[in-house]
Amino acid sequence: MRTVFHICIVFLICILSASCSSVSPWERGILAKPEMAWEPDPLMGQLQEHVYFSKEGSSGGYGAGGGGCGCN
Amino acid sequence: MELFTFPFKAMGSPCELRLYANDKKTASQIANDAIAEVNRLEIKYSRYRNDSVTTKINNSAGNKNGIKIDTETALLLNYAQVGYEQSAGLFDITSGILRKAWDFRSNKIPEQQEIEALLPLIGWNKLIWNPSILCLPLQGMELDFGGYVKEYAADVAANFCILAGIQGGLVNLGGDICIIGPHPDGSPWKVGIRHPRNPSMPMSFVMLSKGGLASSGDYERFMMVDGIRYAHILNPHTGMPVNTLASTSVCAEQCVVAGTSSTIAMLKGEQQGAAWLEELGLPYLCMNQNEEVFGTLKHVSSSEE
Amino acid sequence: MSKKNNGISPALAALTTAAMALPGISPTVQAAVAANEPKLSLQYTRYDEDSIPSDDADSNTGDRDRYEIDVLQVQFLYPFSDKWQVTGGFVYDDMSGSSPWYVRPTDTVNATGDPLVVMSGATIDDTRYDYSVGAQYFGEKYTISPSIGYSTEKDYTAVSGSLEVEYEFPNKATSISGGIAVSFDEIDPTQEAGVVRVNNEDKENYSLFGTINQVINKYTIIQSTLGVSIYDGFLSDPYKQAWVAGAVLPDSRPDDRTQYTWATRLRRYSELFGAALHIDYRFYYDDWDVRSHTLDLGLHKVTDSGWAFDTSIRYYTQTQADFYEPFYAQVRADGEYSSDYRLSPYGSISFRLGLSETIGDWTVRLGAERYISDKSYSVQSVDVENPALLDFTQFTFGMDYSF
Repeated sequence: MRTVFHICIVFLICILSASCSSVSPWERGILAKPEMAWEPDPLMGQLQEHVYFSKEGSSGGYGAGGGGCGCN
Repeated sequence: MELFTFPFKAMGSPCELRLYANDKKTASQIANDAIAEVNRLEIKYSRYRNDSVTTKINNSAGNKNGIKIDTETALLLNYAQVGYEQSAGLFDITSGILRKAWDFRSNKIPEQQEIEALLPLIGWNKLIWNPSILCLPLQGMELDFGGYVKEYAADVAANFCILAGIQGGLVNLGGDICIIGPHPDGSPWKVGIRHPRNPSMPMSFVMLSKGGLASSGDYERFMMVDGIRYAHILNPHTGMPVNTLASTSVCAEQCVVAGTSSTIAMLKGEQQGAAWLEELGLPYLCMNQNEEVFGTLKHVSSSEE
Repeated sequence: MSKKNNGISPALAALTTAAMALPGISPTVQAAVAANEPKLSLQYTRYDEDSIPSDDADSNTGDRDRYEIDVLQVQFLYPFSDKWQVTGGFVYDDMSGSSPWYVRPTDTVNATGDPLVVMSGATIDDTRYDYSVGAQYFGEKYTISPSIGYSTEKDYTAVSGSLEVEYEFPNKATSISGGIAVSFDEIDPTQEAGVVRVNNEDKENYSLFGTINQVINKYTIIQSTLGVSIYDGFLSDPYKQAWVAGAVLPDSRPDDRTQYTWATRLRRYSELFGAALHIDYRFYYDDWDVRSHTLDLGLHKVTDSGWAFDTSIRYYTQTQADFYEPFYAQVRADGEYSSDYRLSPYGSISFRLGLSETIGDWTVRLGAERYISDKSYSVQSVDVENPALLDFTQFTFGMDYSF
């Protein structure tokens, strides 16, 4: 699994460095497409975040969340 | 920094992209993407393609339910609406249908009733639309985005290059110019303005380091009948060509605004057109039918070259 | 451009504004604008945890069936103008099933052998009601989003609030945002004869985050968020116990926890596939020594005819909390014990599929997820797997109506 992790990290670094060296911004036409949204389906996203929050050892990361729950 | 030039053809005109970049690979990559944007807009809004948005809209005329439109089209309609309002109805993208009466290759003036038959199909205020639905209520109505999509495409291409990191360059779509940025030493681009009576020759040059420059003139489509020039500058209220300036060039922050302003000035005619441009506060350069040049745009006439 | 008058002419101002609104003339990060029309969304989810395999459970344990949860979500969005919108949300959870109680070694005399799960005796039934209200104000450059929430169950109450402010730079290619969130929670565990449980405990949570959004090119946008979250109070699980040298003691964790996160999301549109690639990565670290990596890769496609399809794979891996053990052969000097699988070293993989169709004002949505945990998915090498690791399946059906 270590190798998987390292592959992931290398992959991420490639993406980040590619984005930094490549050209700058945009066109609203494409960026505004619904499938380009950070969260294309808010209710589904909210549910998933809640499940992972209550079932895994770590949580948070993407901005302000709601309150806790006694879910165990 | 090296200057790379990419000539191409789009929207029925010879076009050109001039970019300063470190290497050819970067320049051509960016140029290809920018040209692809221009082509995308041409395909999307062409009257001649069956699959274009324009054709789909025009085919829906008479359908009371209207047709779904995308955001870009809605924003272009919004722009047309503002142009219509600000020109008291002279800038009207429903007036393209007049070409059915006016065939400038025929050298024949259409019959009055031919024109009158078309007038009921003209009128921006007849459209019913909101940001997602557009309805052309009368069968036979047509929209023509040709009056400003080319200038819009110039802005889009220039903006694309700016965001791709290009600092110096220009976009030229058949004489509609949008500056990406000045030469690397900061000096402006020298841009020629066509002579309306000899369009292959520049009548003067202007120096630009930012913004857009667009021209319209009676030389683009016209016919001479009995020594009288009938040009494609048609008044949407009367359906008749406007006896107007030979050409008007306008500078504005955006090429599309420059283009609309010059079109509206042409439709308003010599006196009112110039007064309107003065009121807008945009630098302009006109040539009237007596080949007299006037305006607020600083220029060097080609004879002084 | 040079202006003859001091003020800009109204006609030019109108044309310029309309031109600047055209896509492509001014580049922009995903422009924050109010919705066009009110929208009501409903979503039902059936969440079903796999039973604990008999090999992993104490043979005398109660029910090996874990939670089944029915979740109903309702959300209403109402734009007052192009500057203001409010959202109201409601979630109803109905859960039943057993939950892992503690883990004991096979050989309780020598404290060796494979760990076995002992499940809570009785089936737990609980319902949760979660209400939230939020608003968004879209200014010229700033978007401000406050929200409050209230969640209540038989044994748990949480009151929360958050405030987020986003600023868009004039280049419209960059925006930054920051926010705070607080939550005050009260725990009042259901008491059971013969089990020692706390009464009326509480905890607080304070979170801070900062985000940068950057348009990379016309196809690509990236977002990176740094966050810190502080928990203070009763952080143990009142329904869990730990096997400690033959005794069964209440789950007991430190009373504060500071979590740090760095999350980056990328969206890239491929003209070739006509679809958007989603890459989300999160690094997490806390002062209980839990570190985790989450990588979520997804593909989202929307067709012209209104169908939307998405598929994604999520990989999660974490290290254990420093005081965690599946069971404790010896007592600890600090008195901290937890055998909760959530604090154990493990990893998980989940697969998701979603399909939706929009017809007119209606959108109908189906979704499914399969989630599998295993010690071998951990980036840490794990000697003893917690036998209570979670696998679950969930199915979702939802619909939206735009007014």
